[in-house]
Amino acid sequence: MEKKVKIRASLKDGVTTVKALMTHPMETGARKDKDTGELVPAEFIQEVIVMHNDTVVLNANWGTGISKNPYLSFKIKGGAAGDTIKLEWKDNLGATGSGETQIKQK
Amino acid sequence: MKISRRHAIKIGSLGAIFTSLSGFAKSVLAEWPAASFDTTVYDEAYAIVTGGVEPQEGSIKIDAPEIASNGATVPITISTDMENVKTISVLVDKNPRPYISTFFINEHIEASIATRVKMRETSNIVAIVETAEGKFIAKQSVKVTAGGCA
Repeated sequence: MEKKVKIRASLKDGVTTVKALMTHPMETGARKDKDTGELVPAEFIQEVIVMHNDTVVLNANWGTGISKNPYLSFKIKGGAAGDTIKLEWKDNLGATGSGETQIKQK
Repeated sequence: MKISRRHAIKIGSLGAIFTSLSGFAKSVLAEWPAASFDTTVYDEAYAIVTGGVEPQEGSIKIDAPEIASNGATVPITISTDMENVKTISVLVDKNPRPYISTFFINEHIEASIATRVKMRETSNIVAIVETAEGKFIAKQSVKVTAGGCA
């Protein structure tokens, strides 16, 4: 089952600012469960891809050092109100998440 | 029983190879570089990211707090006004796994990325930017008062 990503894109002065918040534990695999003392298995996002309509505008490789519930923001040159911005991620266990939004004029 | 993280990651990446996903199948991403992310030695991570070529000081701006009260989530923004940026990579030199991420930049976006990283202790955010002209580096020290489980 895909997890939802919160995503916003706003256009101002010819630049679209994308802000995304993913829900993910980003477990390093080195943390011990407080109750059982067992290591919590690694579970972290490895790949992120962002599309503007059909064009890939950003992709990223992540390790365990990105914080829990990852935040990502960047700026697209141009863009038009109503264009679709979509973010997808995939983690080390093969789980995926995605979210999409339309660019809003500010 | 000891299941190493290396082993867990191997299992994970096998799963990833056999799982074909719409977006990722179309993407041009190379396979996720497990060896780079898995290393616990900063010099090794640094050597992999720089490709063994010593980067030059570059016009790179790292926005990070001077003092981070919570190392589990340190907000950073890395940006550069250099031309033809290909990648922005982030390392934290004293983290157990120093290589944090690489962002692949193209002509459609500005060379500026904001995210949040884990920092175990007071150390440096290291940004390595690859452009068509070569590799460039900048560092910013962050004092961490409560370490995050990085």
